[in-house]
Amino acid sequence: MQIAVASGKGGTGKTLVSTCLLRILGDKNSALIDTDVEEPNAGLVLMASAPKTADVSRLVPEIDYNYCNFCGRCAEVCNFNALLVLNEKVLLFHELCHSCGACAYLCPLAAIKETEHPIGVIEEAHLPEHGRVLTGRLNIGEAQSPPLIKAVKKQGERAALRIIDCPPGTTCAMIESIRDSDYCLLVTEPTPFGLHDLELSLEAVAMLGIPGGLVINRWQGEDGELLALSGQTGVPILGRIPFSVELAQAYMQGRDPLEAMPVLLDILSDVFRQIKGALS
Amino acid sequence: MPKKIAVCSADSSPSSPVDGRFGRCKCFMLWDPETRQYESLANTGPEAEHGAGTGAVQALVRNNVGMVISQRVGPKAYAALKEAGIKVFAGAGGKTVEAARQSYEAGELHELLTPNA
Repeated sequence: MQIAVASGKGGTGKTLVSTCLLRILGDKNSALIDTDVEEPNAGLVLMASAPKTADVSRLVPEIDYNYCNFCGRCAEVCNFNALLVLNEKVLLFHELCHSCGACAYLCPLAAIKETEHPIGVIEEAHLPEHGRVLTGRLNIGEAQSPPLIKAVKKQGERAALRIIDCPPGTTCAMIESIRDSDYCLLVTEPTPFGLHDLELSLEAVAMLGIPGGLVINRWQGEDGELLALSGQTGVPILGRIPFSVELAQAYMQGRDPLEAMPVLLDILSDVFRQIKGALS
Repeated sequence: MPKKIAVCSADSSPSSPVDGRFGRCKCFMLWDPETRQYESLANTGPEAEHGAGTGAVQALVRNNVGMVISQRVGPKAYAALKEAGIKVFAGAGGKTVEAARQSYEAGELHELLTPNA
């Protein structure tokens, strides 16, 4: 089973929920996969130091100047303006390249081959009782995270239970993270920003046809407009994590949130029961 | 063939105001020093999701441009302009295209030596 924990707005509690779910449900056949590759922190929260286990790269074009006649076809077909053909030189802006391969495929002189460009690493930590933590870490300055997200998800594909700690937003990185999941758990907060970004995330989840449910974090006794949104979209509220300064403090100090707020065990166990129920 | 001067423009006339942006300006007004005439070159940048700046540089290269009058140029576009040997001159904000070109010829604009957007 693969459960993606996503949000929309950043800082709503994706990592809190996903690390707690691993603490509650994880065994040796489980993996927490941190696909927030620009700033992964699930390993940090679990105090699971991890060595790098694999380099990840993607394909970018390389010009063979023995054959290139600077016809400009490659720049013409590049949808991302990653190639620029000058009189005697071809410039590649690899941060713009989406590795589609059109330039190499369509070059009339076969003067382009695709070569590996390193974009990041995968780190793998083994927890004593709860399985593995797989982290994708994008190299600084790299703009294309989806190939790394794909790679780190692939690394964990054999785990029976996979919990994906997704990046915020609804960009390609979030879509790639939630793709192929059995369920998407959206963590939100009762604020106008939480609501606004949740609406966008709900659209993305619906577009991919993934069943979804909500967890309201920092809940202060009222569901407010989230209840109406849940009613409109048919995406149920599965749990409410009460606002708690003690929980926030414990979390920041690296302590186990389930000890700081024992009721969290019941809340998240119940969330998981409902997910299983929805999928059965 | 002498190189043309490109001015980032908010519209397709010599009396249009200079557009402060490079990659996403509406169009380029190209001044041909031989014919002493303008032609307008539509810029695909405003609609581009990615690489508006590098795409604009490619268009200028294809059109034999040697220098461009703009206010703000990002790092990728600047690097591409430099490689292409196209100089950037700034300081024409608020002027029309024609006034900007005259300011350049009077030596009133300054060359942009680093990206600034």
